[in-house]
Amino acid sequence: MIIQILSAFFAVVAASILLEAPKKLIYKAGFIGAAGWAVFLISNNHYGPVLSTFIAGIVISLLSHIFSRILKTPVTMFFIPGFYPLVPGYRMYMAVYNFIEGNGSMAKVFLIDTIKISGMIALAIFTIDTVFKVINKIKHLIPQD
Amino acid sequence: MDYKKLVDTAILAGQIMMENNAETYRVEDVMNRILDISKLETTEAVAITTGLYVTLDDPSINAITVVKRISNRDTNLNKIAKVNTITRNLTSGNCTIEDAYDELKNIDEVQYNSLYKDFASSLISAFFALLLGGGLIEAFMSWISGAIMVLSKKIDNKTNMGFFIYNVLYSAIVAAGTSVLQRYTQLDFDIDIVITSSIMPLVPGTAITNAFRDTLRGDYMSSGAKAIEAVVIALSIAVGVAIGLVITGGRAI
Repeated sequence: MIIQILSAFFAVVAASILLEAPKKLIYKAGFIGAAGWAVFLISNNHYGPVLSTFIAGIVISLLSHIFSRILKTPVTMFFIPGFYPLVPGYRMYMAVYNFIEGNGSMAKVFLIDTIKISGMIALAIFTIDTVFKVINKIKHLIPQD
Repeated sequence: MDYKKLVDTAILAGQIMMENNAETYRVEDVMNRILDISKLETTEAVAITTGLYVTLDDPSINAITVVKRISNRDTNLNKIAKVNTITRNLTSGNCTIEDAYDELKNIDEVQYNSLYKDFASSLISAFFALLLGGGLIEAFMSWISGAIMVLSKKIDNKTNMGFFIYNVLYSAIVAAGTSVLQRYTQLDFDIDIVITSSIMPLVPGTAITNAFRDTLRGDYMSSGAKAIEAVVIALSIAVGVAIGLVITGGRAI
């Protein structure tokens, strides 16, 4: 599991380089990706891949927002590379593979899982974005003396 | 104040951000902040994934409207960060409009040379194999497949046919290459993990994340466009993998 988390770190760093992220931010993005993947692996044993994606997505979005506020950079810098490990590439491939092998029912299972996981990524982003929107609103409402 | 220059600066900033897949609300926010420097009565900026519209009007001047079509799309996070910094400096009064415009014009700074980026692209595949629970042999084979992907991407520079055909081509080459590798080397590795990790650099992660974020902000035009982009890219990869596997006959072991 340590190897998987470490490789998540390096995979996200490499993805940041491919997306031309600023040099000083690539290791921070890698840290966020690794943290997300660690949470996913731990909760995968208890809750299955779909709910685990949601929990890991929450962790990644939260860390991204916090980092972007501290470092004063757009939050996209961490979001796009950070979510790379969660993107359901494996399930998408398995759906196609089973489809051409003629296993229609297996293909359907993987396809539905792909859609569910994408939805969960969306839900995680929605949740944390809304939380930070509400925090910003409250900050504006409180008079600053 | 030179309002034409101001509008040009706003449009240029918006164009750079839009072309590099920034979120739509951020593009509008940046353009509005630049236009607000003029302190005119009407300042309006609209951003859609495929175009930008900016208007500046006041009883004292003739209205200025600029429309810009966005056709190229790529992801370069460094440019988004730089536009953000330039806009911050401009709105806080730390630099003039002329300086900001020149800085935006000369934003093409090469951070990583192309060899370094190609190497990173093949490393993504190798690390993804480990991340998905593969062993060292899967990681090594994915690294080779990732390198095949990088090489096949070089075709892109020679011809010009639209991204759907390219994605189909790349993923077909990778899928076919991997199953041929397995057939002739007789190595015992999990071909599913290897193919999945080597198509990872193509997967539409950027489009998916941005589509969701734009939906939440109410930019339905942009989010719809990006969601369709994600689906089309996913479909093209699926078609490519299917073609590659059918040609070579799928798994050998």
